[in-house]
Amino acid sequence: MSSPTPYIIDTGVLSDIARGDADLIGLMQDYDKTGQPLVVPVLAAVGALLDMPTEEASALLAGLTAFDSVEIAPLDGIEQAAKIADLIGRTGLSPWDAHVAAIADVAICPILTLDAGKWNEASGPLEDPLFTIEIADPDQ
Amino acid sequence: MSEKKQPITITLPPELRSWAEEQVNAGKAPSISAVISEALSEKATRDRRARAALKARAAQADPERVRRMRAHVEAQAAALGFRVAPGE
Repeated sequence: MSSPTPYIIDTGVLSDIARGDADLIGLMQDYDKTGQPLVVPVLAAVGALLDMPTEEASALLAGLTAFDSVEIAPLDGIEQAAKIADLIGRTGLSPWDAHVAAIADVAICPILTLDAGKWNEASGPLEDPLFTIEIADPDQ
Repeated sequence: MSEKKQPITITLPPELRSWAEEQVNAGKAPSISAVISEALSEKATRDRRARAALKARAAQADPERVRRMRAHVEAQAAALGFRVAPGE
């Protein structure tokens, strides 16, 4: 049986986790309990902590990355740096989300986001569209 | 679990080795092993606190809303052809 496809978490989701959004954190904990792999691009974490530069925010993101199912994706050499630079230039994405896009594009994994519209717009100039999944409560 | 300390071999960057040696030479630690042990212990404590902070916040989540959000995510993943871990 094949493994679940990892979700790449974008900067917006990490920012809301850093702000302490209980339902979003509950969702991440639920994923961890059931073995759904999650990837936190390190630049997305930087973007989230720039947005919320407090010790509590750092602790919440550190707690997230302590989950067994969560993997931190570090920056990966000049080739990836060039890809991130190219993505920033072509899509207008922030460096933080460009790291998300670079990983999602290479790994062919979906991006978990609170704003699918932003990613649809960013996908426009790309040959291969990025796959995005929006976190939302359909009842609200 | 045994309480007996076990010797291990580790590799350190030169600057960290120098710092650990300075701690010992300054009388701030009895040995390099003690410096390393204290640093790891502090890291383990920070990790436990971070995980506890996250779990405390997760305990305030609305389980029904979390369930709806997860189902919504999984429906999108399935429509895109991705395999996901089943929910509880």
